[in-house]
Amino acid sequence: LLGVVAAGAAYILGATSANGPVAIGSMVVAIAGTVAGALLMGAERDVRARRARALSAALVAGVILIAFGFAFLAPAMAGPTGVLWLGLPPAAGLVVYGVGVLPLLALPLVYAAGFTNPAPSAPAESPVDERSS
Amino acid sequence: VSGLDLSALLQSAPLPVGRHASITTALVLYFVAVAAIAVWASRRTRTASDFFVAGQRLGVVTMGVAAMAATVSGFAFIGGPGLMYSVGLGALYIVLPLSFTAVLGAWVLARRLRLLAEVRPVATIPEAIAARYRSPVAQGVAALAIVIATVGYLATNALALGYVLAAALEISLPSAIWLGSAITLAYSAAGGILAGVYTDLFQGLVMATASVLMCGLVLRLGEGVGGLSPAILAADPSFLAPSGTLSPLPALSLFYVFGLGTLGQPHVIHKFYMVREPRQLRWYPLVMTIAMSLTMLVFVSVGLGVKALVSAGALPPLARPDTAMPMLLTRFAPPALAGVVLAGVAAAIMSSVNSFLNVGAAALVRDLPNALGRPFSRELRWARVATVGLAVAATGVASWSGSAVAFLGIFGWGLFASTLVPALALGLNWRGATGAGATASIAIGLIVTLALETLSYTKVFTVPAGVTPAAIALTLSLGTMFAVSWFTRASAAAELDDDVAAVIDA
Repeated sequence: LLGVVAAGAAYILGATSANGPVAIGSMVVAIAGTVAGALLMGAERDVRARRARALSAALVAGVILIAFGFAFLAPAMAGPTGVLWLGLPPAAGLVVYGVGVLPLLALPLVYAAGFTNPAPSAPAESPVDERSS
Repeated sequence: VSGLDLSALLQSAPLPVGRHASITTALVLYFVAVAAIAVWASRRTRTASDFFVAGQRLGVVTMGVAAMAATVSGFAFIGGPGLMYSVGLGALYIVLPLSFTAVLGAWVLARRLRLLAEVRPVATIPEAIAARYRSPVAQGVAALAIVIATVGYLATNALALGYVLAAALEISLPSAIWLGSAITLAYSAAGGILAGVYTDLFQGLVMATASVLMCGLVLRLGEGVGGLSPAILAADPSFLAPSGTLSPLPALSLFYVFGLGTLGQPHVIHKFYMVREPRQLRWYPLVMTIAMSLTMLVFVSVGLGVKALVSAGALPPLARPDTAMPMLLTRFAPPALAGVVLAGVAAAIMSSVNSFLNVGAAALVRDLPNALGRPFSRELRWARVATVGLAVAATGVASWSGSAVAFLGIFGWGLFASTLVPALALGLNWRGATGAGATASIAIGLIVTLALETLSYTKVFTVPAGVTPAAIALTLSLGTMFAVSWFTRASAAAELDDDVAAVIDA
């Protein structure tokens, strides 16, 4: 809900102030909030699964807030420095490697570690209605 | 460039690759392999369960690679590199969310949908919505949105496949469009999703191979990633800015839509029903992430590489951005590699088309009749008829509608996202979601997407600050879901059956 409200605020601010820092900041919060909120949704009884979800949400929200925040809102990152981070300027490198690569390496393993084998919670029926086959 | 219209994602122009025996041979071999797999799988399609959910007997690797193949269309090979060449790193905001979308889908939907299929006879996404909210109305509205988006997707992909075949086989575009559609239709109608997923598995491997080979070619030409950037920075520093030549807000909006929007793509998420056992889903994110990462290398590397070559004077500036891939193939790649890449493009398109045909046919044959209280008998036969009907209609639109095909194509991803994400992602994880909230959010997503995209396409009204209309529609539909569910919260508990509640709590 926080993420949706922040996204709405970002678009309203964007309509009035184009790409002002408040609109951009709101959108960054919106993305971090909605993705982390989605990852945390749903009640799981297993502690290991809950911890894995929380870790995933914290990692994604963290890299989004830090990488996008510094890349778009920190003046020092915006200017040309001549330094390249693994072939990219620092601000672009922060976005590409921070948002695009770091979660990609960690999240599938965190998910597998926290996965619990769900048992059907009610008597199983025919998986698909075969009445018409 | 302040923003990005989603129509930029469509392949809508010829591919200047030229004819070569190696290219023709690679494509013919590819089609022979697809035909052989399709015949093998079609013989195993005997029931509606086989047709719609592959008999629920897939392993996680097959399911994961098939999901990747359905997700990635020809855009990754042609339009994507062109977009990258055109707007720089701003194009990456479409693919950056891949770092978390597989895990997001797994946490939010995969287990829930697969468990729902354990306790209810569900085979489609609207059926999951109907089961969750005990609401035929929500099922019907969701099916309507799927049919609208599917026809647009199918028409644009039929046109894109036509361009590939016309370029490789040197035949007329209308002939190529009908030939490509006929090949895809043959196995889609005969074998349904069972034939689809096994051809998807092969097609996914072809796509990943082509992508890795193209990335290798670019790195060799540029002498590594570090060799590409200096030439680009010297000629056009804005290309490597954090959002390229896009303004930050539209770039972030793309990230938002393509990140959350994955939770509403029915041609991908309905594959969660198909795994043999729920416990196999443990490794789904790893399989999907590896497959997607390898396949999307081409998107990033070709756009970056061609920009560097143009900046260094090794290539002339492109007349059209989407000629980035053909230019690289004709100037620097051996013909055999060009053949593999074109086979990869055809594979990407056909695997998406097959999945869309299946979800579209399911919406027509199962969801809309059930929502209206008039279920079909002889469902398998009617599913095949609906598949043929959808394919013929979409191919006809691609052949004869002129620019209307591009107009239809812009509805796809955004329409699925704005209509299905709130009802599914919130509904399967939040007991407080109500049927009224789901129906209202689907309706708002449908209306706002169609209205804003139409106004934007016709240039009557453009969303301020370059934000894509799909982002506005997604935000409004999510907000509607929360608001209407809150106002109707008294009915939430009564709408939730015990077995479905157990799935939500599992």
